[in-house]
Amino acid sequence: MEQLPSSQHSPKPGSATLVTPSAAAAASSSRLGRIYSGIRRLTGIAPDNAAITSGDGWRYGAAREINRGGMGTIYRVRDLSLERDLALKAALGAVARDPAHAAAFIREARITARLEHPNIVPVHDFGQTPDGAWYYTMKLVDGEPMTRILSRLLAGNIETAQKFDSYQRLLIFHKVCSAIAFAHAHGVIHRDIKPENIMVGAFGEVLLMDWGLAKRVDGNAEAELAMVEGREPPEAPLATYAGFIKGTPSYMSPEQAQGRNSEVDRQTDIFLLGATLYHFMTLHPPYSANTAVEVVEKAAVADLTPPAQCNPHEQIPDEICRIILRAMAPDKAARYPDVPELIADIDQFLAGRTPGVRRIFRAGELLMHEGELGDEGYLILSGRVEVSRTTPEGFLRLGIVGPGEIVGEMAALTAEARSADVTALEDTEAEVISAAAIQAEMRKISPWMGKLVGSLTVRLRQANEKMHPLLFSDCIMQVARQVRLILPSGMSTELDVLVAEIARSLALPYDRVASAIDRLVDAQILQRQPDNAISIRDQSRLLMMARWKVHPL
Amino acid sequence: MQPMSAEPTTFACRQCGNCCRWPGEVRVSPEEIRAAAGRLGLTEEAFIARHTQVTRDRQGLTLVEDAGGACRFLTPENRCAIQSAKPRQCREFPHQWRAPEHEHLCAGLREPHSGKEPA
Repeated sequence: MEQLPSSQHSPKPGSATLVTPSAAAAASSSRLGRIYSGIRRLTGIAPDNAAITSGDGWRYGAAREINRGGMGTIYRVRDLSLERDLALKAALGAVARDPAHAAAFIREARITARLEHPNIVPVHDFGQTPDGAWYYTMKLVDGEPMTRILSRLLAGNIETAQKFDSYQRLLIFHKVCSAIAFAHAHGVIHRDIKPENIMVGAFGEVLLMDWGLAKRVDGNAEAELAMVEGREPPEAPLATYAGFIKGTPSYMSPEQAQGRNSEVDRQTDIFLLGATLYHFMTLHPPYSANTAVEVVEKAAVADLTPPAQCNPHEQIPDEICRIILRAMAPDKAARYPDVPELIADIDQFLAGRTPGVRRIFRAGELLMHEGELGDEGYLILSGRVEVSRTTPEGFLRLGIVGPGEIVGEMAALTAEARSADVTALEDTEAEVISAAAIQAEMRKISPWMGKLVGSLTVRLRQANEKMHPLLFSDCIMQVARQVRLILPSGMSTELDVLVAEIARSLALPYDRVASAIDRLVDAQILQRQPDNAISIRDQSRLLMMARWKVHPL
Repeated sequence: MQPMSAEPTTFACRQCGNCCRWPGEVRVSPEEIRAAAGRLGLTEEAFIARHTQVTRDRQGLTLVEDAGGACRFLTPENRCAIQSAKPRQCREFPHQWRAPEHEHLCAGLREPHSGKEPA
């Protein structure tokens, strides 16, 4: 059957259409169709706009261009046999005419197809269009590239900020790492990891796209790809040409930016993952300048603004900054040795098990002092510490805590003054939990859980204040309330009997109750007869104290 | 709840000291603090500072324990250093209060008393 170009006019991006077999049949005898057939016979390849055509056994219909890149054009097409929409990438025009590019396209298709992983776009079909153009079809991701999400975040879009908070972005990054770890295990490096190549689906799917620069490297897993080996055209001459820069300048590793292609390996992907995480967290690509040449110059020497300084507003946790900078170390040997190790650090961070700062306190040393502003708590790893307060009545021990327990977390949570002294009873090792780390953890949990923790903190702090009056200086309010309960208005009772009963009720020493009664007599709230009988003198003030807790003195 | 092997009436202390080694609060009233402080020749304030801490419910004081949960007043001979002034909570065990798990730790509760007090 005669094939027909998809469009008879010069196509603009987004204008390519696909002609269904029936439509193609109707037009098969057209003059233009014969002209294109002639071109194909002469050149062996399809003309630029002979994109996706119909033909015998051709199963895709209704194409709409989605994206156009160096390696090919991506269309949204209809799989006519399975009645589903797919993405079809085709090497057209200049790409198809250059044997090196065509070979690279075939390699991309085969590499992508071999990497069956939940976070790598699945390839369904590969071959040549009826026009002879190489194509492959893949899952159509109903989502958007991460770059768009990051732009909205930078613009302060509240809805996006809620949906893609730093925790969610780390989860997305984690999935990208997982895809790369899988590829590395199969001897493949991506070489162009960047937010633009990360598609995020409407239902949280994360797919690493565009394996057009992917390359196989030597490794134990090479045999995994043996099936493809041999039939696949070699990478030469395009990609192995020394000095030819491959990748995207804003994220490039120094070895890529310097054109040292033979040094591009798995460590390069680790750098690119770090650069991607940099953009995820700071909302800016690592390198930016007025011209592409300047960007490449910066990338060549890893001239990087540290992530924390790049966007202080985002309050990027120190541990994440450390992870980014280790992955993006200019020296390949200083980067993570492999992706699983990078993933392990992300896991540790997500699980809140960030390796923290440890501190040793000698016996007798003060960990924190009452009244100071608290910006960190301590997880006791070994040893014992004493929590205490010094009240007007003297030293009061609130507790002794040992390994596995936390001290000072309340002040760190509420950013308030310390409510107690904490002293090491013996040599004690503690992990420092900074207020920033606590806040970072709080941001990870759901908003209501954060409120719950905050409310519990306030209640506990209040409960700590409500200690037995024995423990604090003034118990006159409690005594006044007892007097009102025990002593009927207009009646009198013997001082000793009254004091003993109140002391029993409140579990207070007799002397302290007696002294409180004396003060109430002095304040002329109670009256003491010469025979030591006590009666109420000022009922309304006593009521004020008992009911409204108005201190009389 | 399983019945105890030994009824309190048949209980006789074997002086093993296990009951003084259980971790847990020993609440002390102001009178008990006064008595214990007097027994040790301390002021009440000094006794509170050295030997007590606030209870978990923040409503009173409890004796400070050693790291393993043992009472500080238990001597190496399994005697109480403040025997004549020991808190009511200690005095009343196991006649006034006890829990099933104590049976495993207290020989006097585990084995019925033969009727003869230990030496």
